[in-house]
Amino acid sequence: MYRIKCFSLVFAFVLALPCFSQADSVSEKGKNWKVKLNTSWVHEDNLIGTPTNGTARPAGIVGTSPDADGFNWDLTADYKYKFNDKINFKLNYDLDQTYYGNNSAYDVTTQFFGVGMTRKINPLTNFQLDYKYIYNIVDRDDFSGIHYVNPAFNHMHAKYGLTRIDYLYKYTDNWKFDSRDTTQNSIGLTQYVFFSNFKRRVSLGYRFAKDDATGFLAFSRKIHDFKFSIKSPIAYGVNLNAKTKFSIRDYTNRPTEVGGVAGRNDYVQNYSIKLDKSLLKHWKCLNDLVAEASYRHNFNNSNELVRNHKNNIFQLGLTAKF
Amino acid sequence: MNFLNRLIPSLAVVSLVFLLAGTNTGNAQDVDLEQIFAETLEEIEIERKHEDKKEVTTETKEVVQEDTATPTVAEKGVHTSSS
Repeated sequence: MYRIKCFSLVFAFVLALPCFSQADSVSEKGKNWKVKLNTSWVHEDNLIGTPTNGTARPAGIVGTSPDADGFNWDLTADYKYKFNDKINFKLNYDLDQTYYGNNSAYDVTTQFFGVGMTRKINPLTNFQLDYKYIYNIVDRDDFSGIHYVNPAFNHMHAKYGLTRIDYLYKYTDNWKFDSRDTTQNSIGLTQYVFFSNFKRRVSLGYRFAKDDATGFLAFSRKIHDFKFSIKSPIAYGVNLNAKTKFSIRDYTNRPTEVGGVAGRNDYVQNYSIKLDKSLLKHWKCLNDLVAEASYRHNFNNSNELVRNHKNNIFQLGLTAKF
Repeated sequence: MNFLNRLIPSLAVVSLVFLLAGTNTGNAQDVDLEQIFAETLEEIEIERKHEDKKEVTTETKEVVQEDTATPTVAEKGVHTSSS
């Protein structure tokens, strides 16, 4: 029933698209709405987080196949309203679903409801304020609701590139496990440096986050994230987007656990590479059709053996932008 | 998988060397900086949303993993006074 509702929503959007394009007679550059639909095949070789060390395998996942093929689809709709020369408002809705077939306990549906504002300070400096409500459904059951507030300051310098400083407040209300209710405060700094007359860019970022578990102190933690990314066209219209993230997660109030340790520390490594190529541009109401292929490697290196796991994720898909 | 684990960081380093050695930095006189700024912010916003989504999905999966597969007594048994 739930799937039927979701697919109905997509069809409603698809049917409504011609109306959008007729109603909006302004040029593409001045268009104030965007719709994007992405579908992809996903393969994960350790979806359930089987520990790397076989002897530490938790009883709960014995007999469950670690690898899974899945189908993901994602629909995004954005609307922008220009209040005056200095202030813009935006509305956003995003629906993302992944189905894993036999491992349906990991089927995740995420909906984003977003509002935001941009205040221009000068042509190359602005302030942004975003609010999102994120609604998660796992295995067709309501799972969690997240309130997300993100103010950011952005400045572009002709030589040194773009600097972004942002603060993030996130409150997670986990309806299924009260012990997982968490408040997160974090601050981040990212520098984007441009090359090849602004066609390529490299970014370097750091973020510090503090998770305060309101339900169960053992889930409180401090997080240090270091990020590095490259975005560049390569050849034959193919674009490369490579990212790496190293994260230190220090669980400050971890009690001694059965089979675990008192002070849990996780060192998380994420590597990802994505290639994309535009296949079709400006056909009727379709702006762009893009083929995408990506690979991600996640490695959670924890001193708690049951949390020590690796996962390789392959994704192949198409994105239609309207 | 070991091959891929080595391939990804190697590709990152090669790409960086390629970028730094073979290209020049941006020249503000040749381009519309304001437009580049707006376009980059838009791209950053899309990327951030992808990141948020990945993070939310990963965190949700972690919670499902830990709460369905946890072998610990302490995680289930010790709660703060607020719970």
